[in-house]
Amino acid sequence: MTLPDDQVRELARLFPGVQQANEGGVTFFLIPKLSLPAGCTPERVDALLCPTARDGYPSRLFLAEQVTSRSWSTARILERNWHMVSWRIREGPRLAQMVMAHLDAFK
Amino acid sequence: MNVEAHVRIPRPLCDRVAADLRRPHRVAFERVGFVSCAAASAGGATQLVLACDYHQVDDAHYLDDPRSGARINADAIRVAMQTVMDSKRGAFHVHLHGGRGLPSLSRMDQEEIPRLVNSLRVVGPRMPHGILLLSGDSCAAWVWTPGSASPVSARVTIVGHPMHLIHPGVSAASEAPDRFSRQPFLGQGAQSTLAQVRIGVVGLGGGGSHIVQQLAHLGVKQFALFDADVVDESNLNRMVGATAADARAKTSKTEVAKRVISAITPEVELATHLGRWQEQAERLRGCDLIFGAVDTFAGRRELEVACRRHLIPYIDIGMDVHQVGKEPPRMAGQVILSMPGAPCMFCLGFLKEARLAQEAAEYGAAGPRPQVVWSNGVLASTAVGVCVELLTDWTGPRDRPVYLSYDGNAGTVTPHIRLKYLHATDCPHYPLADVGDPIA
Repeated sequence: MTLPDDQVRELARLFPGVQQANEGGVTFFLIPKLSLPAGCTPERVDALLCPTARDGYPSRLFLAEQVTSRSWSTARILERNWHMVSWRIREGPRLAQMVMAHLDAFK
Repeated sequence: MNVEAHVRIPRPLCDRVAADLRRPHRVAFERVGFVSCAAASAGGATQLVLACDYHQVDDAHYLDDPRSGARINADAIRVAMQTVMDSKRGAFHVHLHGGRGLPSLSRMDQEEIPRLVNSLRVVGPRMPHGILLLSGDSCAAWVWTPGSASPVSARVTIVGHPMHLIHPGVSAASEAPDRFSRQPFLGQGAQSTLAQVRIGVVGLGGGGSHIVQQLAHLGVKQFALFDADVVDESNLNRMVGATAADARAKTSKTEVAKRVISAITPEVELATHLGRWQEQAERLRGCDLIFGAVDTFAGRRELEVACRRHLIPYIDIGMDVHQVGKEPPRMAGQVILSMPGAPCMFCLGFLKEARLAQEAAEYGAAGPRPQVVWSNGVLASTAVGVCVELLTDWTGPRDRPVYLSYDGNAGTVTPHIRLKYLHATDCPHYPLADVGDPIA
């Protein structure tokens, strides 16, 4: 799937150091040291955005560490182990909006 | 610490390289080229080198030099250096010697090619570079790992059908003459191949326990075993080697598998991990071939991803029992060989987003899946047969993907009907460009 260039540039501007990588025909964005909502421990964590449908979710955000006492499951993507929570956001937001909407899970 | 290197080359890429190198040239007696390679660690000091592309040398970049088989000019070297910089991949000088068997470098090769490799190392210091030398039926490799002063002679695996494992300096294993006297039809060298191959098995319950037992009987001597579970009562209906005492003691499944294998072949090299393979992923990468006997589609996807990324053939087995209404239960299963570069489990229609989504929606609610010993045994035996075929080529050329469908009610194993409608021979989901470490 081709993602709009302007959205990719916007994501890179808002989340410095973001890297794009493919696996299994899916594009992912690695966001280093993403700041989490206030009260989360740790405060910053590497995150991986899957902007397309995966496992029944329109998009997903994976974190390198578990941050709160929610129910977590795990996945291995791009040679790293990730943690994710069951959190569904609406379809259609821009890439940067997706990241923020997924972070609502931890507020 | 002594660095070891292991080069993996997909067979279609190897054939493409050889075909190009065999083309006659107007002034040169032979051709050379460059193979792009990704890198990954296989744990410890083992450097994996994963061949993913080939760059031929332009006809105009050969020099007319009767003293040399092939002499290339500065432009050819500049192009190779630029490719290293652009692709962020290592580069291996490749050429072809006539004859068969493990080839060796000529004196002129030894004097001149390392100088060229040094130029590549200057522009790509964090990547492995080196030399590949093909013969009519084999391949030798010398790898300069990042920072090393001298090359190491590498293991080479040509990944495809058949697999070709090339271990320089390792002679054929001597076996007790009677041990394998009933399986000479597997071919000359088959027993040596089985002794040298390192096989990973993920999941050591109903399916995996049969697999390791059969591999040990066949003469496989190197195993990496992964399972996070311990034996309980519910495993005793199907798990080879597990006893009531194991269920009481909560013996790990890896320990039971180790016991079964060691009882058949005491002199094995056996690494076990009591946990998820994802915690020891580097160890998995070091395997030449991996069996997956896992319960979930998501688990299969993760194993296939890891295998594709490291150019490892993956053999998947699984079964299920469904019941609709008042009809008798239907038992079905599959054996799939997922070969790097060839159609994957998504291409074959076995993995689908809808199926993964349904599984995720039922997470934690599905309960234990039906499993029985005879169907586990049929599927495991079929998978072991696929593995032996791949390693020994005893049935001859095969060019179709392996997707076998098990009908437990009819007692048949047949090629899956989807293969009739599969026209692609490659895979759009896992291109060779994606091998190796994903984030530079």
